[in-house]
Amino acid sequence: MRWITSWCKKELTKQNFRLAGWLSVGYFIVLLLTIVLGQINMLAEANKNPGDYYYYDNLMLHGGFIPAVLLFIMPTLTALVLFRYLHKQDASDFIHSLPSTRKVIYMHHAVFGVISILIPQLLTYISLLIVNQTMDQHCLLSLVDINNWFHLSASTALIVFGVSVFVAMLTGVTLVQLIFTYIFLFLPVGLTLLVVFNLHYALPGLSMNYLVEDVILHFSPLTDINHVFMEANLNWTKVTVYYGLAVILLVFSYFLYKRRPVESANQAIAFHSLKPIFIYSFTGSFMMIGGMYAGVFQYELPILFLMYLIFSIIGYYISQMIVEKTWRVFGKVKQYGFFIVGATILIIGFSLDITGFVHRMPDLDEIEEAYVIDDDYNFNQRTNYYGRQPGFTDPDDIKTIQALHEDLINSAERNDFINYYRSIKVMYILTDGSEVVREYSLGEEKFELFDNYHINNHPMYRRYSDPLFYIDPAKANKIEVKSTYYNYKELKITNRDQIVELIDRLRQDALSLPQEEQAYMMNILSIHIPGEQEVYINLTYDHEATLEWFDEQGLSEEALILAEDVEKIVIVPFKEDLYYEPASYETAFSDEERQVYTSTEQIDSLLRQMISDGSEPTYMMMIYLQHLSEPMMQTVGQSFVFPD
Amino acid sequence: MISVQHLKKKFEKECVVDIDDVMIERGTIYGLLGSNGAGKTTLLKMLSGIIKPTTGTILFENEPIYENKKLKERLIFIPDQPFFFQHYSIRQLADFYREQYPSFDEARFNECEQIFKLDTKKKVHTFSKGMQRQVSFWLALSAMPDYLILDEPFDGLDAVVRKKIKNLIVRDVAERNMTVLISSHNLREVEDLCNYIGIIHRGKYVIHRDIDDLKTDVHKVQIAYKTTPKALFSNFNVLHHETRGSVHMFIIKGDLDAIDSYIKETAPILSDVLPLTLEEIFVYEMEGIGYAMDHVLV
Repeated sequence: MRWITSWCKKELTKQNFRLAGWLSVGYFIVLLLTIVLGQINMLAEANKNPGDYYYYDNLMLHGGFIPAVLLFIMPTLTALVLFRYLHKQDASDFIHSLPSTRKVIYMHHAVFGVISILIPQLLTYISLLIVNQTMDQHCLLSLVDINNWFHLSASTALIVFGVSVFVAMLTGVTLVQLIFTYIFLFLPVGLTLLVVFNLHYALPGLSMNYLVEDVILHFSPLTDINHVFMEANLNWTKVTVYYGLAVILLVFSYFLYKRRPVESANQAIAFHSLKPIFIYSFTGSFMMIGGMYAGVFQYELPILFLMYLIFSIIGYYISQMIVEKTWRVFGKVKQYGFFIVGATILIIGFSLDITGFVHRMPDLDEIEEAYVIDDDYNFNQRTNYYGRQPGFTDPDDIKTIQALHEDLINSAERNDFINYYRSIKVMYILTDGSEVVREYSLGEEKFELFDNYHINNHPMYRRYSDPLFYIDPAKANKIEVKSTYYNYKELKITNRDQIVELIDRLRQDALSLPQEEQAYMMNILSIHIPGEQEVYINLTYDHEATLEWFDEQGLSEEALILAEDVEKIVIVPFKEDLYYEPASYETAFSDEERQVYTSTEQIDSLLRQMISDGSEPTYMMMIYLQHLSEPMMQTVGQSFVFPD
Repeated sequence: MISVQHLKKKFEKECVVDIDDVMIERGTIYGLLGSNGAGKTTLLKMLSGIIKPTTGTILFENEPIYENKKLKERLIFIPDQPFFFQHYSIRQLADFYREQYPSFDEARFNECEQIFKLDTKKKVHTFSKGMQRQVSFWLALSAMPDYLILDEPFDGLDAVVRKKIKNLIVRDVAERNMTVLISSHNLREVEDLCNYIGIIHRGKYVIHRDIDDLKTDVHKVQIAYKTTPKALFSNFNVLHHETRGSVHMFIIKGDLDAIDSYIKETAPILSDVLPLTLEEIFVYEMEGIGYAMDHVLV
């Protein structure tokens, strides 16, 4: 203990407490009011209505966004006030004239900051433990949940503090420290976003979503925040990385502190050698923001280059103004000259695709598996949750995919990615385990390219694209069949054997459904699996095996809306100004204009034509179900044929 | 003893301080003179171990001062604008100094209370500028430093307080052999206190002298002849020569006896050897090495 007493300066600590102690106290009060009181309130309610199970299981959600926002504000403010002396010449001179080494001074401030952040959280943690011990009669929250809350809060707050301290070392202006703390926190994501977005122009086929969603968003606690809060289980890797990074940042800041010139107080950039780095990277980022701006507003390529130029000039002068702390920087052009030469070389280099990225297609014998994906979001979601379904392995299929890929490469334009929202992704898993992923944005007309190859008909494609093939039938506890309109009919199947059989039939159908748009029945089927997302299936008349199963089980009548359930169908010409109002349609037409069908055969044939074929609606079908006065409204298009 | 060798400090590309070799003995009261922007404050901050020199060494008793806790416990720097923690009273500041400086002397602190007569429980930032400066001396002298470095210390102090502080400093120098460095742009302000003077101009040393030596060393001679001998005082170091009618005025650096006997030899009709004020000495000394005094000091 002696080394601590000889090390710790009581009066310096007192001074730090005067500076930053109020933040710590305030933070604790807020945590007490939001999290602890929220927990007490929740448990009190839960104890009153023990049967009602709908309670938050996440401590982070008490007090809404306040504790979450404070995780980013409180550590920054602490770092701001504790290291404010570095940014004031007189304070900095005074502190460094004292008989303490820089190590001791830095340690006092950094350690005090860490403690002042951790103590409120620790006290909240202890309060939660006490509250739970005394109040939680229904085990709504386990010790693990409280531990998780503490580690998430502590690791996030510490990394924010670490970044802010690190920035404090690099600058001599407190305002710059504040702004750049958040820029640095966002930097890994922001910079990658900018780079990838701009690379898209140069490299058609670059897969941005793949990079951003899978990798980058986790890099920064600012963008990772919803993952952090919403995930039921604590991601220990992430928490460990945050703790580790916070320590690394604080240690690294110490070495910067030792080298930091005292006289750099009031200067935007504390280290002389960092100034050019700052100017070039700031200018570069601004140039890329210009590229993004041009992209968002869908400007043509020549305008893009103009944007690059304008934004780089703006960025350059802003950076010079920050560094020089004056408006009068317009005479400084030399560094911009270097920048523009470098940027031009890079842009030409990427545009000419010197690495062969655009045309790179793995050889057939390199490829172990191949995927064509047209719903990237859901594919990723499912893959992340269930693991990947096998892709195409047959050489003939892979050749088809390569042919499609070749077509996509040849038809790709540089600014497709800003013009179109739909995209097709081609993914190869190579024999060495690496992946080659390309993504092409396509307009509707080009989507035909995809259809031409009939890949989406292939059972393999359907297996990895349809959620039905990802779920484990044995885990499902309920299948519901409901009506699309009103709760006309409803059936719940909870028998495990029936569920497994039904899913098996649905899978059979999913593989054999025709590629074309099908006539939907008025039934939706949903498969419920505890803890997982429901799988919804719009039943069609082509779900033959499934419909057969309902017949076999004698459940058809109970579950499905069939021709027998329809009293009549009235068909009138479609009129846009009537909207979809049944009452207006019922009165707007004379009896000659109205076609009324009542026979079961006719109704059945009409129901099988309820297809939205994408063409302009021509007729309005009004379907009157038995015992219901109000009809269901359904438009039909050009392909509609009147029954005999 | 303080020894400064080959000291350079650059701010970016600009060289602010460039000093070859200066030694300051213990017990000296050293006046560092120079106009605004001459590099005084930068030099003092380097001597106080606040700023790190770009190159060169600063040794206190053969040890570097930068990051040297043991040495800095015996050194106090008072900047031109005294700094205090916000909302601290004198009492609280004294607690802080007591922890930082092991030699902090309670008796001295109480003695200063009698001298300065300020309320120790009042917050320092409510005091006037001059009172704040008194507080900084109060705290510094209570810490009983061996080295006291003062940057423009007497600005904003009235004559009475000035006198009190000078007395305290002189007493410490006499009793404890304290070394004091005082910077100023005004020679008259420090000439009664210092026994050593250094003048810097644009970061470089112009003069570094013992005041007593200077005063016995430089002489003003007013002399007139019927026929003025040729090459008058040619063997002496003449800093300045002026003629008004038949009267010559020489500023000569050298031994008084030698000058006297030379005068007798040349048999003037009128001769007078006069003492110089310190300011005059500097004006002529610097003229001798090619500086105009009013450019260097204001």
